[in-house]
Formats: sequence, structure tokens, C-alpha cells
Amino acid sequence: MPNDIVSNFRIRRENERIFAGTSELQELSGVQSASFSYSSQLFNSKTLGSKNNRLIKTYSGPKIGSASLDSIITSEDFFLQFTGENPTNIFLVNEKNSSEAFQSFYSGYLVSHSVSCSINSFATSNSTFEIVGDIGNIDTEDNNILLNAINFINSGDTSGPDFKIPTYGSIDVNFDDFSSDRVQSFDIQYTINRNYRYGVGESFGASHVPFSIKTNYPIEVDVSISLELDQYSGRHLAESLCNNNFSNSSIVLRDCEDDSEIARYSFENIYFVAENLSLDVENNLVAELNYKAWIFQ
Amino acid sequence: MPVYFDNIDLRVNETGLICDSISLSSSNQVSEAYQIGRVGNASFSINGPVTKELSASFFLNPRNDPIFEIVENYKNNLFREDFHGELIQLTNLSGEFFLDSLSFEITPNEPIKCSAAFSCYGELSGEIVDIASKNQIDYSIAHAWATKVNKGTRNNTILNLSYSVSFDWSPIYILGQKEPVNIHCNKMMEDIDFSILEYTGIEYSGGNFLSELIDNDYLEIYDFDIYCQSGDQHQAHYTRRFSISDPLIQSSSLNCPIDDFSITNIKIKQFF
Repeated sequence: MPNDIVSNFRIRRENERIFAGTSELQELSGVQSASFSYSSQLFNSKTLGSKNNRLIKTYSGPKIGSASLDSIITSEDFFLQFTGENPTNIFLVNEKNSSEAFQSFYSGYLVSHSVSCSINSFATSNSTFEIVGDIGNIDTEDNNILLNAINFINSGDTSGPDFKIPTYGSIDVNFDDFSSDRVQSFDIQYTINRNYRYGVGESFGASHVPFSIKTNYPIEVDVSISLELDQYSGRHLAESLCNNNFSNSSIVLRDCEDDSEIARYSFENIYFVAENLSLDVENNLVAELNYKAWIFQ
Repeated sequence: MPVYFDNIDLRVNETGLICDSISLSSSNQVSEAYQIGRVGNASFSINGPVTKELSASFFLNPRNDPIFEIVENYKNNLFREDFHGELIQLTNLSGEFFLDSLSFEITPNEPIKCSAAFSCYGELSGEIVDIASKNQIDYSIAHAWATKVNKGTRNNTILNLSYSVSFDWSPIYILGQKEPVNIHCNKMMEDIDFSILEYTGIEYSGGNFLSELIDNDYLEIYDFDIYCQSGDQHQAHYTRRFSISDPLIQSSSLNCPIDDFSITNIKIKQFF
């Protein structure tokens, strides 16, 4: 009896399924945590001659929601494809065979995406979205975008997506800047700036969405690599402005079992920008090297 | 007696405004008087009457805004001889003021705020006192979400829009009397400033370009309420409508910022 009471009131991870995509949503694997949030821009304005019960309530600012997903990278780095102009739509159900979204959003734009991995951990990603469409418990009947996810759920297929996993032993880090040094960890951070434009009178009687959404290129990429030194000789500040450009650098994630490629992060031109050397009595000498690259349209 | 902000009421023709700032200033027009053969200032010279100016910043209340009523009234009776000012009361201080200017700006996703300036050419009576607010404001807040620009067949997106109207008053003084015997309106001027994405320059001197941009143009500001899924709550019961199709172009400037569209800012002007 107590078990029934408990199970009736919990939404457990084994019943949750997350679908994402632009037009054809696919089920995600490896999601560790997700958060969806929105808030109305209601504000109270004190005015002259007003008592507390006569605050002026109105709205200031665009309606923008936000979402964040932390994932272990399995099979692919799914959200990397959304650094461009395509919006992301996400659909979350809380019953395995239910096609009613518990939580969803549409017209979400990726604004930051990071990938990291270190010794003794999985490669993980974090993706953050700004949502200019709608977010929350949206009526799925009104939304064609979510239709194929609903059809997929209705098909009864609960096998889940392919599951390939890279571990720290199956990651290639190829930088001209160093070769045999022991890479301890890496972190890649994509920052995507979006420009949402709203017009006067454009949203009258509508849901106040922007009439234009542009991506402000280039996308800035910050790469940080931590390595135990072997052959890397280090630089000095005066030299850091010269010979700081490296081509054809890449980080490749491979499946730990069959060595097939899961994700590749390639940089035609990447620039060394910072170095942080740290040493202490209990650890080997470690250098953290920071690079910057830009992705153009 | 000190007066806390929650007891400062501004009423125009007995209707309260939703103000977030008010300024009332009075100044003497004093200048020095020097005299040849004498060291230092001989006296002061009074060059004119005491000027009293009141300005206020307030939320536009399309349901019940007294200042837009004044503008309409002035527009319709612009050149009459016997203009009277408007009764303005600041708590218990009151006087007859003439509207110098009114302006507002519509920015997407923001409530619409106005500012107005008045001049008083007569005496003020009463005083600022700390009494409970008398305002019974039947308020709603105009908002860009409840604003409609009728663009006819054109489809230019307006990014923001500001409107201002100003009046040039001419008080008539006679010798032996401190207050003007009459006040005329010399002219009224409307300025509309808006930004669009399509470039439109001035084609010829004095060109009325608006027909090229927007036709049958007017701006409507609706009583604002939360829009819910069913039914349009922006009903036209409380609407302010402004024509923006008649004036002549004053300037057109194209700006090309980084990480944004090229934006043409257009200023138009109309004299009455």
C-alpha cells in the first residue's frame, strides 16, 4: 500500500522521455538533467499619490523563456547542430507511452553550448536556450511541430536511441601546439549571440513574438585544454601575440567499444590566448592552455 | 509640512494622472542693473513676470487621459481669441496652466510613458499639503502590445515610434497689469519620429513621402489588458487614435549598426 501511494505521486526518470529537433523531433539519450523556466515581466510601479493598493501593474520586456540541458554525450553531440539559424523544439513526456507533453517549448534558440571531458569522467555537454515561442504545458494539438514525436510515442517504440559512449580513453585531441603531452581535460564553449527584433503593432492580439531572429556571426568558441607537461615548452607573454595561430586542430570523441566517431570539433584556425601554469607538492605540473576560434556563417 | 510621495496627486481638469515624476518650478526674470559712474550693482531689474512651469512624466491611460483631451480641444479651436488654461491641482496647490508640449514613445514590449509640460502665466493658489490622495484613477496602462499601426496595403515594420505635440503661446501684457490680458496660440506643431527597416529617402524638396511608405495611416493605442488565448481583450472601447499620414518629411537617416539591420529613422513634422 505505501508503495502505491509513493508511485502515484512521483514522476520518475524511467517514465520521462525527451524529444528535440527543428521539424522532425527525435528522442534524446544521455540527458542527465534539464530545466525549463519562464517568467512574465510583470512589474509594479510606484507612482506619485499612490498607496500600496494602487500600484501600477504592467509588463516590461519581451516574453522569453529559458531552458538548459545537461547531457552525457552518447551517439552524437545532438545540440551542436543548433548553433545556426534553426530553432529547437523540445517535447518532454512524463509517462512512457503518453503522447501528451508534460513540458515543451518551441522556437528555442541555442545561445550557449559547452562540451567537456576530463580523466575519470564521461564527456558531457550543457546547452542553454532562449525561447521566444512558447514554453510550458503547451497544448500539443495546436502544434504540428510536435506531431512526429507524438506519432513516434504512439507507435509504442520505447527501445530508445542508439547508445554509443565515449570515455576519456577514446578521445583524440589533435593540436599542433603540443603532441605527446598528457591531456587531462578539455572544455569547449560555444557562445551564440542572437538578435530578436520586435515591431510596434506587430504583435497586436498575438503572442508577442519577434518578427525577426538573426544570429550574429561569428560564433565565438573558447577552448581550454589542461595537460600535464611533457614536451610542451610553454610560452611567454611577449611571444603570445606571435605564432599563436594553429590550423587543423580538432578534438574527436569516439565510441569506447568500436572506435567509431561520435563527435568531431574541428577548428581551421584557432588562436592561443592564455596560459595558466600551476604546480603544487601533491600533483604534477599542469598547464591550462586557452584558445579562441570563430565560426563564420 | 513635508509631504511623502504617496500623497502627491496631480490632477488635470479634475482627472488624476499616473505620474512617476513631477516638477514645478517658478523663476523670476531678474537681471542686474549697473550704472556709469558707480561701483557695483545699482539695482536689480525685473524683465518680466514670474514664470511657472510644471512638467510631469506619466503612464498613458487610454481609458481616461485628460491631456490628450486638451490636445484635441486645442487642435479644434486653435486660433480662437479667448483661450483659457487648464485647471491643474498639485495636492491643494492649483492654477491655470497652458499645455506647452506632450510627448510619448512606443517601444516594443514596453508600457507607454508620456511627458507633458505646462506654463502658468497667472497666480497659483493654495499650497502643497500632506493630505490623503484624492485621485480616483480609473486606470489602465497603454502598452506596445496593445498598439496597432494601420499600414494599409504597405507592410513596413515600425520598430519604434515617438510622437510629440507642442504649442507656442503668446501672452499679451499691458502696462499696469502683472498678468496677461489674453493668451494666443501662435502655432501648434506635431513631430513624429519612427524607425523602419526599408530605406526611404527624400525624393524632392517638400516631399510628402508618407504615401510611399504607409497609406491610410493612423496609430491606435488600446486599453491594455492581458491577452489570453480566447478572445481579443484589446477592445476598442478606450482607444486613442493619431493620424500619422499628413505631415511632411523633415529628415530621413539611414543607420547601419553592427549586428543589426540597417534602420531608417524618419522624422516628420506638421504645423497647424
